[in-house]
Amino acid sequence: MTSPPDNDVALRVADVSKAFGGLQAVNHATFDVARGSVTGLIGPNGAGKSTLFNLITGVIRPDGGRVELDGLELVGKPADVIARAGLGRTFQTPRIFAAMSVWENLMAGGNAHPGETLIGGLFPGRGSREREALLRGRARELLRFLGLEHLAGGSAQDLSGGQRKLLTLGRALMAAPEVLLLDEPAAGVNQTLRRTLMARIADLRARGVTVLVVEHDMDLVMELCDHVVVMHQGSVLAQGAPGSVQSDPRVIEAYLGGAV
Amino acid sequence: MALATFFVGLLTLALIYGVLTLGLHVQFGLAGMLNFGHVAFFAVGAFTSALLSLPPKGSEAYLAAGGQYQLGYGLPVPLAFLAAGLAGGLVALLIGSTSVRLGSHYLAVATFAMAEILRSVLTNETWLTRGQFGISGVPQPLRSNPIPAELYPFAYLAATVVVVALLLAVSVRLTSSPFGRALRAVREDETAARALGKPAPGLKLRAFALGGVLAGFAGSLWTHSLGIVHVGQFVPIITFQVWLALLLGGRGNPIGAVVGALVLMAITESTRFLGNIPFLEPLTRRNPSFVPSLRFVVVGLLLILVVRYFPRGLLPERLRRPPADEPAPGRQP
Amino acid sequence: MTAFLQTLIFGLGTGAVISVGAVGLSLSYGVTRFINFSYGELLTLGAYLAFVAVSLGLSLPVASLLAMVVVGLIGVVLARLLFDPILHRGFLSLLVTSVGLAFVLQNAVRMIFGSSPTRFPLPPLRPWRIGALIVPKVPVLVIVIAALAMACVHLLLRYTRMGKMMRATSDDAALAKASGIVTGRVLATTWFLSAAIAALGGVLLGMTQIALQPVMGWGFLLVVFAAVLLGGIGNPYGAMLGALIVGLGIEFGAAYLAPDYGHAFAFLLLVLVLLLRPKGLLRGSF
Repeated sequence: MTSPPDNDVALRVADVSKAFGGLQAVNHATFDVARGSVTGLIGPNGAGKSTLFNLITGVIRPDGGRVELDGLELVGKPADVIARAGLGRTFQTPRIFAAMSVWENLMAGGNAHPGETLIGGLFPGRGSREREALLRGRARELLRFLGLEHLAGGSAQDLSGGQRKLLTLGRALMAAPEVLLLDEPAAGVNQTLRRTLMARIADLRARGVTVLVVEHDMDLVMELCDHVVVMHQGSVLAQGAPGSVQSDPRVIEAYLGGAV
Repeated sequence: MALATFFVGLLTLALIYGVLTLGLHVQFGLAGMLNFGHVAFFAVGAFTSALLSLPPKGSEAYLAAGGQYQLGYGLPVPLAFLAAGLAGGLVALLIGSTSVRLGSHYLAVATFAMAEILRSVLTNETWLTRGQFGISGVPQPLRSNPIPAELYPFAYLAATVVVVALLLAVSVRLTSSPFGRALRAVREDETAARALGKPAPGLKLRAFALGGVLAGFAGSLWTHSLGIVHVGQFVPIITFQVWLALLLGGRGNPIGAVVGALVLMAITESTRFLGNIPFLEPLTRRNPSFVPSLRFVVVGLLLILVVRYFPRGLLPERLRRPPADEPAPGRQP
Repeated sequence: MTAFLQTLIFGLGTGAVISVGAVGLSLSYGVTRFINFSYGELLTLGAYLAFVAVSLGLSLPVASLLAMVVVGLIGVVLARLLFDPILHRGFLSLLVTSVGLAFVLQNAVRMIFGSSPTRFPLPPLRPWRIGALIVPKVPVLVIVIAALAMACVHLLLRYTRMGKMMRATSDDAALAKASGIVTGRVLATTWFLSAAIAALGGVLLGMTQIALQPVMGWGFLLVVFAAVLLGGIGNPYGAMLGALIVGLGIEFGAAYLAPDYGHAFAFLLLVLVLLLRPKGLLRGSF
């Protein structure tokens, strides 16, 4: 097991556990996510990956353990506070804002906006106008980045599954998060889109965003990730460089001899 | 002339309902909160405005008005109007802060229950409201002095139109603002909105309070238009007539809220003439509640039908496109 | 002492009426998963139909049974027509539809019978005298009838096949559907039972209040909600317990605290339950 050195850790998960009724969904999970890396979180179905995501992002509260974002303790904080601290995420099934346009979906992603208060909305001051202009620029750039420009004025409801994935990725990026959690971004996506997604994720790394991605698609993981964490039955089974994890006998066994 | 006065009165009433519906639009159309107790904020606004503007006990005007109420502060009506909005907002804040974390159908039941509790209090605390008797003589600003009594309904309508236009402009502004956008995001998918950093409970509470403010204003307009305030006016069916207006007009569109109220008023007033249909006449004579009950049957049927077959309403929610000032193509990102 | 005992008996009597209503609502909630605002109108219909049947010459017990059957059928028809087609549409649609239905039913009754109270056809019952105690007959009768009805419901749910299927559907509707347990028959039976019990509740309410008014069911609705939510939504046994607490709360509150506020105590209880312990006192479903 190898883990990155301390001062380069963007997200630290330490001894996190969660039980539902009698079932131990996450069992003392511990790993670090290196700053600027793309780290993969893999494991068979039911390994606890989605639960762990929800624990990290504050949707559910762990029974024990610590989660630190750049040294800031996250456990116990509400989900929106955690998001504002710099942690972004996407969901397995894209959660678009269906009644809003693609453009507005993106604009809604921005945070730290003085205009998002009652008074600030009615009487936009300079701070609000500047923030709005900044977000507009960012949204346009993301539309180009994701290739969704031609769809900007339409309803998010009309987007295909793959386009929705791109939209929610873009929306999560609007807040310029420090760490981005991606929950199966390539699931159910066609080949071309998969390639696009992979390229976009690689671009993110180039821009200094730290990414933790849950994926079942092994090719994607092996090609894209600097570091891989394997979960099995709620615990961290192994972690390290993709190659070493791939050949780890425990990992192979966990996948029941299937191709890892 | 009598007919004109009748229609003017109707239009005024419809516009007041429009303000009420606007309040519900902010709470439900924007923030997605199922408020089944809206009439409570309407009542609070009406009583606040009435009690603040009625001449104080013991004054000459009090006696001239046949005074039998306890509280009165003699404040000018515009001030009472503002206070009514504030009161509506405060009560909404109170009710909302307890329930904003409740899931939708629990929120509906909780708001409904709290409105009924309020109605119970208003009915029983007769020192405040004169209970079943109500308070008459609520000031009607400028009536007979200088505006002649026959022209008063027209003047009041004009004033109402101005107020409604102002409140509508504010609502439209708010809906397109970043605040409105954040609210709609929370409405669409609260979990996703929170994952983006939106402080959902706080946003919803503010929207709820604002809806209460609007309902409070409506209450003030209402009581000064009629000149009376009486707890029996604020029954649960009002809440649901406002709901019908909102659904008819288009829940996501502030203009739709006002349009819906106007359309609903037109529909319910047309049932007034049902009593004149020849074969219904004997029934109407035997049972005086016949036509009023028929009106409510119509409201009930409309609620069922609109929800099932016409849920989007008349005016859809506006889809906002990117602003036109795109950078020239070919520019380096 | 006698005053206390009287209040206690009235409290239990009110609780008994509420429990009948609450159990019916629990049953329907178990299957549909939404709070039906038109439920109170089924009580109103039950009471008025019993009144009509008695006016036509039937005895009260027979009239009540007839009312239960008729309202039961009405319940199934209305549910099939109005609620089943939109069960997937979400809370707003279901809640607003149920409110709309409530207005239609209540005002239909008002159109036929007028707003003024109608006297419920209960023969005058002189109270029992036990030593120095005056025990009013009506609440005791209500308690006995309600207890019998609850016992029947319990036997049905626990020991019959239909009852077991109803419980399975309430526990996990999706699973029940997938495993083929849920059929149209189970749903229809639940609707029927829920409505018939409501009708019985209406008759008991009529006995307790004597004055029938079109608004009687609607006025009772929040009280029943309070009992159901207090006892844990979807749980008929919890509803019975909740009903008892609410009934006692109303009577004692009215007798010792503030006479005009009777029902308001139930509403307050409801709000407190929702805020402090939304799952109710007894957790889980039946």
